[in-house]
Amino acid sequence: MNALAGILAFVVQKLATALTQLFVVATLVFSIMYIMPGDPVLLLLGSESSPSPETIAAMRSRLGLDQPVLTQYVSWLTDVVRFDLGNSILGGYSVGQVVADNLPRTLELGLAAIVIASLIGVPVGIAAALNRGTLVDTALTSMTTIGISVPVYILGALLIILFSLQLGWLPSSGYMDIGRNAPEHFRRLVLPAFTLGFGLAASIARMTRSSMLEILNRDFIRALRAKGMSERRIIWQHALRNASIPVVTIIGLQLGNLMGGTVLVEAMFNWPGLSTLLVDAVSSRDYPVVQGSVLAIAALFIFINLAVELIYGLLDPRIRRRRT
Amino acid sequence: MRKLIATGLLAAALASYSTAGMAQSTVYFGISGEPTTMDPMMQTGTTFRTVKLGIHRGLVNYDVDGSISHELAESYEVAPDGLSITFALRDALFHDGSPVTAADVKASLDRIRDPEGAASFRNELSAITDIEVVDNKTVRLVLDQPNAAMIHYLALPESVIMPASWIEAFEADPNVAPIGAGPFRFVNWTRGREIVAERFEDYYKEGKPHLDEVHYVFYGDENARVNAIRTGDVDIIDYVPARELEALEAEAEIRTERTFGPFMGLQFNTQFEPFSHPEVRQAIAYAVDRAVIINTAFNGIGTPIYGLAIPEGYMGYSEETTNYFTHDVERARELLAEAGYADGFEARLLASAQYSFHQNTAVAIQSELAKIGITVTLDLPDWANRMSKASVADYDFMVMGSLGEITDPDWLSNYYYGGTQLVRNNNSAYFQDDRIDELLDQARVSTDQEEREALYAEFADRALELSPLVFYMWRDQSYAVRENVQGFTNMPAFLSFQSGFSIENVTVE
Repeated sequence: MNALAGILAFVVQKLATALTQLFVVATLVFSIMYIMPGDPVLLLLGSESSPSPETIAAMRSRLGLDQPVLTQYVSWLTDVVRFDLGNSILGGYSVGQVVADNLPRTLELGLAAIVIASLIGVPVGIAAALNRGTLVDTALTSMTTIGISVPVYILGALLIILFSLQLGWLPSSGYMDIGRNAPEHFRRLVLPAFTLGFGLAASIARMTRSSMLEILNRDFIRALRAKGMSERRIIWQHALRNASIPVVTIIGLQLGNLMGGTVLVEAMFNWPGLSTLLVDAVSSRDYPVVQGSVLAIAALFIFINLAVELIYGLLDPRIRRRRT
Repeated sequence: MRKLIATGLLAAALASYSTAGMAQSTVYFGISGEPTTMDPMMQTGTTFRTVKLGIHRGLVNYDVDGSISHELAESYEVAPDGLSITFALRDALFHDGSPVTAADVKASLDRIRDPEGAASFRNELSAITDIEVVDNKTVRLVLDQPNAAMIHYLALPESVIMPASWIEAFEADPNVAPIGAGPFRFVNWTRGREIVAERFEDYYKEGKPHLDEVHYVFYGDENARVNAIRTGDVDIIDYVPARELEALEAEAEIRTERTFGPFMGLQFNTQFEPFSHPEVRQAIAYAVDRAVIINTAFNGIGTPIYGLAIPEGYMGYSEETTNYFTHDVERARELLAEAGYADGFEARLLASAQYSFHQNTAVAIQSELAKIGITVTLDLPDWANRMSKASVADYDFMVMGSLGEITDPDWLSNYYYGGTQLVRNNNSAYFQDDRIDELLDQARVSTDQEEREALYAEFADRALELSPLVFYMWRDQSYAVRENVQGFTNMPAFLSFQSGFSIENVTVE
């Protein structure tokens, strides 16, 4: 009973923190957009013509931008609580709808990147650990250093040159609905997901290597060896299982950080995700779209971190006790 | 190693699955951004114009050779006194199957000239005082005074005709289901990705269009856009960056369609003391080596301007007006001294870091003006902010990258006219000269070719003498097209941004 109450208190506290974070983000997003110079009305009215002051005023009032900032803030916040993100200033479409359309694409890109990163990172890390100190280890470890340091826009450009322009194997950009043409959908996912996941693959490889090395030096491994268990069984069944806990932690923590990488990757590969939406909206000063997409990205980040913390807290009582 | 091979095989297998299974005559047009609205009366940039000219047609439009082509109007007649234009409509249909009538024309044009409205060319079209529906297929535009430029404003992509019923139903939400009478019918708009249009079977031009579908795919990133045409993901792209032109031309399967269109130059805030002197503005015209701008900002691709930015063949063009200035640093120093600035001065130049060619043009001008003692500080906000500053004349001088909207010389009014609104996007802030206003007014109402030529010749002399605007170069405006796509035309000079019109002629092998 006492344990259950502890868990409940822990969950409630984490949820409260997450909600507070969301509120702070919402307020920040709102105010930053109004501190930022640049007038959406002028962009909306076009760059070639010369709108008269009356036209500008009429447009401003039609968009509700002539209201006091505080009024706009309160009404925006109330709408957000009801999951209404408003309409785009420029296009008139529902921001909630377009965010809901783009969010899964960004998530898909992020998840694909993690899958690719794990498929590469874990085997590389194990191979390096098992060949510790040899040439193989040095080679693999240096590769991970490169992997961590190479910026995504360089890696992406190199991959496009190699796989799209030289070899012609994969498209350089674009997106295809999975319902319309599934194989094409995945072909178009490969390069951006690989670009996004490469740095993470390197982190995973390093973590796997050091974690494996640590486990392999533990007494229980020695005991198993002394018992005469086959090396293969020791590594795959006992060492890897124990070594994987910190690796999984890394993946969980990196999922949020990957979202940052999507800004560049989506632009480079013309991937219609949240970041593309955000970047376009910022340059056209489409306030509601900027607010909606930043809020969605922040909410995603907060949600992932919340999930990770909750899972650890539930799995490991020490974390729970320390924090409550 | 086995894993590597497996990955390679997987990639090869994925690659062998091609997109060839799609409809044969579909063209993917990579455009440099997503339109912000589908309301035709708004001029929000080239990307929307490109889409608009696939879906809509006006009474008249600019044809691929730059002439005025009769579209929904079978013919038109300007009254002898020049005070009205009467259009006879052809038997054309809108995409919803309804016929194009005089009432639709009236509704569409009334909407543009609505004083409460926000149409981009409201000012220009407000010279129409009344629109009379003569009969179902005849419509008369009444003007307050003769206006030689009116037919050109009606040819703009912003003056297209929509069904009156559509305006009533969708005016508040023009993005849902655009309807026009153009060669392609709007199918859908997937936010962040593309706008799809399909062939309109009942288009009034026999045998056109040739394509089944056009996908206007948004490529905001110029590298992604160029890569997309290299790999064949798209068939046509707009705004080819100057640094990629040569490389794309070297590719066997791609050709480039080049024209010069927009000009680069300077606008001045004439309330900033030094720039109130014509001598100073002239000095700045003399001082800058055009080659430095062309090399710094445009990879060596561009054509210098030493006078007014009037394309050859346009009214107002002459050998003398184009070669009025030279690159002459000595002359520039003399002129500065005449104006009382022998030791130079400091000034703030507004441009934008969002477009590298704007920024680099500013950098080139900064270094060139340093040679005559003018210390330039750069103000390089993003484009939205640059526009805001321009609209309140928050600059000493400003990099201009623009063009004339129409081919009639009245385009000059937007750049030189004083009038009631002295701070505009395209003029030099607070510049006003009575003689220039008079000449522009007279030339606009004149219907006599020779008289107009004479008036614009005099205008040119005055404009160069006062030099409220200084022009440096023509910028290249290029499209790249896959070799298997025929019929796309990059329309000449100022009309380059209306090249989307030619989509009705495009075929694909």
